Amino acid sequence: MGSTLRNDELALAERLVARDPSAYEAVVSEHGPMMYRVAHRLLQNDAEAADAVQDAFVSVIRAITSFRGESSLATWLYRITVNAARARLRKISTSRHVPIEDLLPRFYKDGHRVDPGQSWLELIDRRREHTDLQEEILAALTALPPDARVVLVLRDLEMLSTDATSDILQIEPGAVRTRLHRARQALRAVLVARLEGGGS
Amino acid sequence: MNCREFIERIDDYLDQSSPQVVRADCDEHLADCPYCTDYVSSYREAVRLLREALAAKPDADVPEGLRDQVLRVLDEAPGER
Repeated sequence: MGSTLRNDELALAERLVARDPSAYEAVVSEHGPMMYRVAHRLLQNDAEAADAVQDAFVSVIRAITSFRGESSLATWLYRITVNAARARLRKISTSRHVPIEDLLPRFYKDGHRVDPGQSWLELIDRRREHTDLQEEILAALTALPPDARVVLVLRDLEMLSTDATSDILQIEPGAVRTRLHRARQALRAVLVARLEGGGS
Repeated sequence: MNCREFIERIDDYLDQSSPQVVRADCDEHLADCPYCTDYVSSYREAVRLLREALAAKPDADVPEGLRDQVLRVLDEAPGER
């Protein structure tokens, strides 16, 4: 997603500003599947994802005049969708998320890990027969703080590059890398805790 | 290299983007540290499981009414047409 807009995107943006219904139909058709997929991956709920996409289009209508083309239309729509889904996440979160710092490994002064815990291989072998790992990992994803969830969805599920994610989230590439590293560590920690806490 | 230094470099190690000298240090640490060897497995597996879990679920279809909803919102939104 470079900084140079293609001419057809610029033309489409102009039609969006002019509130041409066919331009909005084109965006729904071309970008709607991505917007719904991202919202669904973040919210893990059909109705909430549909509402988030509708919220996103309300934002598009309101903000299209401020679209300057510094990033591509797709990047802009990603950003608007992530923000809409994040707002929904705040509304539907019934419990406070564990701070991400509590999900990161801790170290002694000499750099060794404090309480490395149970062996992953033993844990997974013991649990595999009794546990739906796919359900557990999705539950782990939804237990993460929103920022961690967003960066995992964009980098590890949408498979966007660090630079593209940086454009969408409007943070430096280094901050994307740091956030992703912490999110992956937190995902691992929540999954391990869920597997350790389950019955045999 | 100790565990903290290794874990700080784990993404570069896994996607093989670390310089050879750093990679050699990581390999040396892993050879001596069963905890970090185990950590690498679980870290990699968690991301793989997440991708698999979502790949196993078909992408939810865009709601059928989305186009009509958007056009309705457009019609109702304040501003010039």
